[in-house]
Amino acid sequence: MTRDLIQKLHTYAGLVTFVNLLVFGLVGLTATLGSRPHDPAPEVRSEAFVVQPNLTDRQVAERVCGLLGLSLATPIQSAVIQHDAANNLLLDFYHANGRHRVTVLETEGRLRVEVIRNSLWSYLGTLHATTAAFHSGDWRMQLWADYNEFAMWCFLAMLASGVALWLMSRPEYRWAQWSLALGCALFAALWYWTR
Amino acid sequence: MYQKLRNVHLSAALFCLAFLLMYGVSAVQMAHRRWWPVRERVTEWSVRLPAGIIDARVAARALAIRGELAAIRISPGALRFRQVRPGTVHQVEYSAATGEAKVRATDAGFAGMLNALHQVQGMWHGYPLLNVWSAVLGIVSLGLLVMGGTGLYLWFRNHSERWIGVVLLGAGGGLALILIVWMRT
Repeated sequence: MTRDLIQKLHTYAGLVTFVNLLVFGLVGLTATLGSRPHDPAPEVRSEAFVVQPNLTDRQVAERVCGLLGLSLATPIQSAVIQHDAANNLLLDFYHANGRHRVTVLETEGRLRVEVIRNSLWSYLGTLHATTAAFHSGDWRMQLWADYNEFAMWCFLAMLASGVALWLMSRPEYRWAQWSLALGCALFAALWYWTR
Repeated sequence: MYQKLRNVHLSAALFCLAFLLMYGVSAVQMAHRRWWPVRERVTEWSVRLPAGIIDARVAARALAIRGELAAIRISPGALRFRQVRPGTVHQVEYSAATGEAKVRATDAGFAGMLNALHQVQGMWHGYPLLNVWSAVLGIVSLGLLVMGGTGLYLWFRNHSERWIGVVLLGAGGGLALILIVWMRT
């Protein structure tokens, strides 16, 4: 009865968070195989934008964010709001899909927008690291963050329940014993050499 | 076929267990830093090296500190660099005039090392042990995918769990996929 219950929990946890586990695995694999991180060249474009009088920098930032549809970059952090050497308002929005560096050219009535778009793997990497501690202004990202937090705990529960299932069903299975011993020995050796 | 894949699922999971525990525990630490903060221990000392070194690699070799050479800053008569390995950072300030090297070692402890190992990536490091870690963690990630695939098969072959499984997979997987695609576009 206990074994059946643990088996159900193990199976259900895996199924309900299957896509998250897939993301974890893919991100880990691409982290190993990926090249040295670098910023690709940005795409640069202009957008018409008139700054209303008497707005604060933050209010301008919020309007720009809304105009460009950057809900994933909300809430706007203070570090986003900067000024360049010519004292133009410079907004540096980071988000899961990359980065938008926006220079507000108030006298010209336009925005200079530099877009650096993350690769799909970088995007998934950002998603895999987003948990409930993260507070997003975009409800989709917040929902993902909460679900990913749940997936993280399911992952740990699956490790524990998986070991329990092995010990309850086939503890004498030699391949399993050797696999565990080899894996632990490898981890211990690498840990020791690193420390 | 069922028994073979069950054996693969079990053996892969047990081989990867220590590494997966590292990932899982460090994920909790990173997500909830107040529950388990990284406590750093800092030690400092000075070493006398030959004077006149202008190449950080030469100074690093002379110090014989293990790690990846990083954050090199060269200024007239001085070198600054770091030797980094998971959990430990050595910051070095070297004076070419006197040959004195001030070393500041920051040890992030057990939590910090788990944290750093979780973030190891790439096979392009100058410090070979980092490449070894990265390769092994890549194999573990592949193992996780194998566990996912075999786990899916094992579930599907269990007729009594099939329908509830479809609901859970559809609901959870569907939600996750929709969010991933929607936020990307």
